[in-house]
Amino acid sequence: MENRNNRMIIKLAGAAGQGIKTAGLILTKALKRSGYKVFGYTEYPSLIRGGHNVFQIEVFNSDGAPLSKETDILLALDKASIALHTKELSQGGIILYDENTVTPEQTIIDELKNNEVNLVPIKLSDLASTAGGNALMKNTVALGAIWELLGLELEDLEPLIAETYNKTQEMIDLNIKCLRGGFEDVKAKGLVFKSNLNTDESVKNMMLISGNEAVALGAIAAGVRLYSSYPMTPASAILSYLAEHGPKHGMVVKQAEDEITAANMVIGAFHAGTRSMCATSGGGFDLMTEALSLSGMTETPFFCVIGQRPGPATGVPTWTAQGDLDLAIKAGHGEFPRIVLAPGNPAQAFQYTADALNLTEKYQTPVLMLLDKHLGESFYLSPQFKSESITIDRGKILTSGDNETKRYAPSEDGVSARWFPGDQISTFLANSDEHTTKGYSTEEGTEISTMMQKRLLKNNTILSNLPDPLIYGDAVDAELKLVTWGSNIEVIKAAIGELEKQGKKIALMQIIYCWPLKADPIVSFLNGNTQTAIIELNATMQLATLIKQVTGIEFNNKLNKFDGRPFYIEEIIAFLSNLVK
Amino acid sequence: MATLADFNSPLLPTWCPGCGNFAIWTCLKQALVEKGLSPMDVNLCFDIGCNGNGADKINAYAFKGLHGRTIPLASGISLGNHKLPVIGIGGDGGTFDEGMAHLIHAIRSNYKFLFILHNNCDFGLTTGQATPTTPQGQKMNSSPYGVVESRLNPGQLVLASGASFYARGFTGNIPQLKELIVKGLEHEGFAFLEVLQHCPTYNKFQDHLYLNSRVYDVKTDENHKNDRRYVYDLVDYSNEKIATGLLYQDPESTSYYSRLEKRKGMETTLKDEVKVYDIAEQVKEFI
Repeated sequence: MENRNNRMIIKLAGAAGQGIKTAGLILTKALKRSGYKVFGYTEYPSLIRGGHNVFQIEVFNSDGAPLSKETDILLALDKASIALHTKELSQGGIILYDENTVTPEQTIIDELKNNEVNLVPIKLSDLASTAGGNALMKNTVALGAIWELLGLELEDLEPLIAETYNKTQEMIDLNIKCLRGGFEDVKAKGLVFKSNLNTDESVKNMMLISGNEAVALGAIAAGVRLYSSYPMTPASAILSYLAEHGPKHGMVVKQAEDEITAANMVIGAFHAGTRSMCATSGGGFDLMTEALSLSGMTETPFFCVIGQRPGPATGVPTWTAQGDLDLAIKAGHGEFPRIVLAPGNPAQAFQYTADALNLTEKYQTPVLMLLDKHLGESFYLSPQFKSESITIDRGKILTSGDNETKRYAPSEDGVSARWFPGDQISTFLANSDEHTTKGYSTEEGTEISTMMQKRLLKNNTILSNLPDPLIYGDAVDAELKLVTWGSNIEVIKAAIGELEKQGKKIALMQIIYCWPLKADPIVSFLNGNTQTAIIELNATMQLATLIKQVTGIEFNNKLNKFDGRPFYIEEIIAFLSNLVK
Repeated sequence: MATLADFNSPLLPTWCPGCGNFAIWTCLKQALVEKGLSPMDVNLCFDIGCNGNGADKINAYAFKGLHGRTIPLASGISLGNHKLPVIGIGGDGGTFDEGMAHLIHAIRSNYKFLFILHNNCDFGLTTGQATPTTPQGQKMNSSPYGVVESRLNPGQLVLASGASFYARGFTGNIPQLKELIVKGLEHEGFAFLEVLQHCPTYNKFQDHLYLNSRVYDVKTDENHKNDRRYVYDLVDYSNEKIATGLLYQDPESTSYYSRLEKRKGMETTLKDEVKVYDIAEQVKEFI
């Protein structure tokens, strides 16, 4: 159905603690520097030692970022890795395993033989110790082996080894020796894995970056001065990246005692006149919901990134889902405007972090940005981020006034001008009680409804100023109109690319601003007799329900799942192929 | 120079006659005037409860947050502009029930702001329920057979948590309370000021006369020691006399902000620094 010459999949597997992720990142980046389009995906359990870890590298020619079920080259650092992935191996695929520590079961050997998969034993541990290294360094030996298997030049890989293990010159030398050991061993065996993948000069200068790192860079570039968060998978990497790099730009990074603190500190910092943000996952966000309501009531900006993972409760901490759209849209008591947006790749995550900060300051109401584990923790190619692409718009800020100047003065768009404590303008009370234009508490009926209307007026202002959803492809002569959101976008783009080669025409809409949801662009996109479909990673079709609520439109076809795994390209292609015959 | 009148709100207090809040309200204004601060030079942070009902009874920049969350809100404000004097105000209910974790971590962090605890040993605004500082066995609304839990001691809690400043005032001693607020504002770190006050409506066990007959100022005690363990024992509930004044201050105290390595030598506040930052150095690491 699909021409697999366009894609090669390498999977590194082993026990937690064997350095799978480090090795995977080195290999992915080295391939990128050699000009190959790549995508890196991790699977790991919520354990520090002993669980099964996987780093999957997709090397491809298409657009987007495919994720495959099938594997061409498997590196198995432990015995479990062979058994767990046997069925994923493609015909002609190769399993490299550590002959010193792993003895495959006869039944598995037979099964692999039937599927024409080659089992290649390598003495990874022996080669590591011959090079003078320890048991952990067998992953470096394996990198050398894979590199030779792919027929690539060592000088393209060695600099990355040196950059990664850069603590001491001795460490660098040892790892390089290990690398060469693996490389020479495979060379002597005469093994080659053939692929028809192209290289592209422009890829060499692209970034290899995760969604979390992109958010962190967006935060630095867009002038976040206080980042306050409590660690929670899959958003913790934003905290750790900023803790290291934020202070180089003078950013204050606070690991708070809980999410309640994180959220209240962000609101306090915005009130003081600076820019701030936090990030968490669904469970941590639950704790922030009263603060969300406080932001809505006091019209103090608040920005939080929610890295989604499967729930409810603790759920499945290190896997992925898109189950918190309803939560983001509805969280918090009382009625107040908010903006919920969802980027689909790191370039968007970078740009929309900056945009979200502008929006929360412009409209003085909470902004929530949904990521998920797949986007947050996978490694994507991306054009280099530029600070020049960032603009700062802090909305209406007064620099002068007198004591008749009222912080919550009515205005045509619902947004009152603000200023900050210490400014010699006019005192005000940011009040969680319903309040007057000065901020004083009120229980008077007319004032209560006037202030509610004033705040909710911002919803209309926001709605008329938000950008439209993104459309990929031509909706006019499409055979299928497809809608999705979040991290699904990149694998869907890759799938559509494959189907286009067969002459199929599919138009794709990515909803970025999920709330408030603009009805008109969706209605005009879906208008007509063409088949429609929606793809999302949750059990209850939250975006489809929302679109129906706002537009009245129901999709003809839906694809969803909720097993903690992101969509695989095979699943998307199978679904779409059924709809465009 | 600002005067007391500058801090007047057009709204009058709604507290019960005889409430200790009147004294705290007055002392706060006096202390701000004494420090030469005008209403636009400070930010007050209020909790929910009878203390919070004072949020619009004083003219100043202020934020009335959520119940128990005054401390993280004030922490964010004081980090956002470390040159801005910030005062957090909360009751014994919000501070020791919902806000307990925030208090202990603010002590550890040693953010530079003054926190004034209104300790009247009950929930006033919700009509007289017990708080963690209500004596065990005391009959209260929602504790009709007496409070089951043991009584929490604010001084011992904060001292054991490593507080760098612990003072205790009494609403019957205005000059002392004003002085303690001034001292708290000058402290280089998190200043915890407990104010013993009467709740004339719901606190029948510890009224003004009860407190007045037991308090003394440690200034008058030549044996007083600025020592964490000494003060821990001194404020034990078993002592008949109630020590007030600046009971303990760590002279070596350094605030959270001043401990931040990468902020050292920077003159500006976070408020002044919102602009586009160049990430070219970071981007290189991803190539």
